[in-house]
Amino acid sequence: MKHSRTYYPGSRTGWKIFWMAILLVVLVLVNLFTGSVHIPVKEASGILFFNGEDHIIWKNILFKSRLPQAFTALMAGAALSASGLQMQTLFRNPLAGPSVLGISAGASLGVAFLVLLFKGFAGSSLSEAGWIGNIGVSAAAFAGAMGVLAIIVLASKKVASNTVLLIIGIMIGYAGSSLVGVLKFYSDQADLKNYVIWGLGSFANVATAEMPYFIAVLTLILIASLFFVKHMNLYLLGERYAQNLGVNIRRIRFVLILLSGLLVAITTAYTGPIAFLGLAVPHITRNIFVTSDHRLLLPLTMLTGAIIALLCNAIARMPGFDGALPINTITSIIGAPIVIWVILKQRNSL
Amino acid sequence: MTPILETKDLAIGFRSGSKEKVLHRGVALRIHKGELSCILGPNGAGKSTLIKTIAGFLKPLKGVVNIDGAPVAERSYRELAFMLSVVLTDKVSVLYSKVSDIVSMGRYPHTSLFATLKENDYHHISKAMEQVGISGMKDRLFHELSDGEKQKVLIAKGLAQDTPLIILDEPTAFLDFPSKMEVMQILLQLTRTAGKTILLSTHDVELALQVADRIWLMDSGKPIVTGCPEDLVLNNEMNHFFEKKDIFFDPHSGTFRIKTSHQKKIGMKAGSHVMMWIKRALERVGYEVVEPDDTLHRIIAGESSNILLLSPSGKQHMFEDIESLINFLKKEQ
Repeated sequence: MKHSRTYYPGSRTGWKIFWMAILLVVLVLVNLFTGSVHIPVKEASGILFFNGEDHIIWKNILFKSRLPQAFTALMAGAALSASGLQMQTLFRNPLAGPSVLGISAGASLGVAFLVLLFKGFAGSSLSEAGWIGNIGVSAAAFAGAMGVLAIIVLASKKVASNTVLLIIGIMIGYAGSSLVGVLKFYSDQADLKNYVIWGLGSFANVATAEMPYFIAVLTLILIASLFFVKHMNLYLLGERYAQNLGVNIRRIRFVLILLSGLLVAITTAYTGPIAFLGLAVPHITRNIFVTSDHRLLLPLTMLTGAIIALLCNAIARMPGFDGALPINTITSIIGAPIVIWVILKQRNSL
Repeated sequence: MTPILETKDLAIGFRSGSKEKVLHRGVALRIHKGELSCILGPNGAGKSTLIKTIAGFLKPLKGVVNIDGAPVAERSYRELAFMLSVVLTDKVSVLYSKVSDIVSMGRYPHTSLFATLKENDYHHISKAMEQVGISGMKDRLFHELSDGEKQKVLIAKGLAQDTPLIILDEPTAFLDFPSKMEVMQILLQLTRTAGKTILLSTHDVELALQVADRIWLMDSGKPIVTGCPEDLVLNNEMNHFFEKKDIFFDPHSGTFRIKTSHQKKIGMKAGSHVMMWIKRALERVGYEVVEPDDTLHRIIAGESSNILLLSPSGKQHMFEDIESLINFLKKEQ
């Protein structure tokens, strides 16, 4: 007897994946070959791929700025999008995203404490502390994010209802923002500006030396996430149906919150809070591939997230601009219309 | 024969903190293999709570639910997934999932980490879709289906799960009447031909009377009454449970009827189905139908659907349909 194998991607899906993989490579190259300093493509590829052309300045720009930035964008895009999808599925809410549990607010709070109070303790502004300051900011963001993640994970063990958990997360977010507001109020202008700039997000803050660890850790968590696609599929039917189909609801909820939270915490520590990517990309991916099967959707959301982050980064550093635009302005301008479009489109079916 | 499902001294209800709200206690019920059992009762009687407790979503406040002789509470989620499948009232809103994708989720407990479906799984999926008659819509998107079609897809999901016991919480709610009938017929068929054991709750008393092997009558504050539906009608339990002011259970037709006040009498002998429908119409407009005698208008069904009325004065009237008969009687008053 012949049965239709509905779960294997059709040839059209195969072609879509193929073209998107090409697009990813093209966008990585665009990110390498464009920027405020003009480096001719021929020379740039010589430096990148053939180790030729002893142009020290260009070499530095390529290897210490553009290459790490491209990989940061790629990894952050994939990580935030996967995290957003995990939250949307867990809470069965199309408007959930990586920031929904207050984890990025925790990161902001950590950074606010450091940047805005540093002068009071150290006597000089953090920006004068150079690279130690950069690492300090990442550490503070990570500490803040992990602090909130710990609270949420503890709450998830106590609270049975997902809705209650969601509300706790959102409230922690608000509380964090208001604390940041207090700190801002009492801080001086230079520090405030530093904090605001961090808040606008940037893919340029992962140092070349930290790059391998950044990539390795995020890749590990993303791979770990792929092992829960079956449970995420069942979550689409609702918690009770999932339980009836053998899912240990509490355990999976714990795992999804932990994985999603770690992705956000690590990414935000280096890039600052990136708006909209994690919320919008899962929707874009569902629409492109017309599927909600996480076995396809989760890896493809990572792919789409990487592409869109690279695209935003390329736009932000378009040669016409003096320097680079803050990344959040681009992600928001692209993300906001998409979210509106998704809501209009889903209004009838949700 | 050990029952496939049995509750012993079960207390159901809700627990919040140290407070307990008990809806029913001392519940002792059993279902045997291949039976279709229906839980009937008004809103708030605890039907859903009982179903959720049996399916393992709620913990019993006291007592045990045994499936295949072992308590549900001691089984892992995974073990339970092979014993019972559920169809719930929870709204399923999945975008971009095909009907066959939803049905195939019923196979997930039988698959490995990445839910790779094998030949045997495809066999169960297509068989399940055939049994509920949705094979023709397997490639349609779930979120575009009507409520009745969605219900059938979820039943097929439960069938694909391939468990001996299927539990459904109000599977006919929100459906139009033909769909209600169809769903009930499908469920009855599954117990008769596929050997499934089915427990469902419903508000559709008349449908339940037609299909159920056993009925559980529930109301808040009363002990649960169980029995074969016909026994419950004959020993007046049905009437007892559902009787309200001006509504009564008519044991002759097996339906609920609205009590009408009869000011006038009319004579008619019971007989064919035509006479039965004439009687219903007369009762609706306020006549009590009694044995015919000379002092009353009498009705004698004529040829085919023509109706013959004999007045006390001996005059005869012919009517083509019930409506003209009623119009005539109204004018007479």
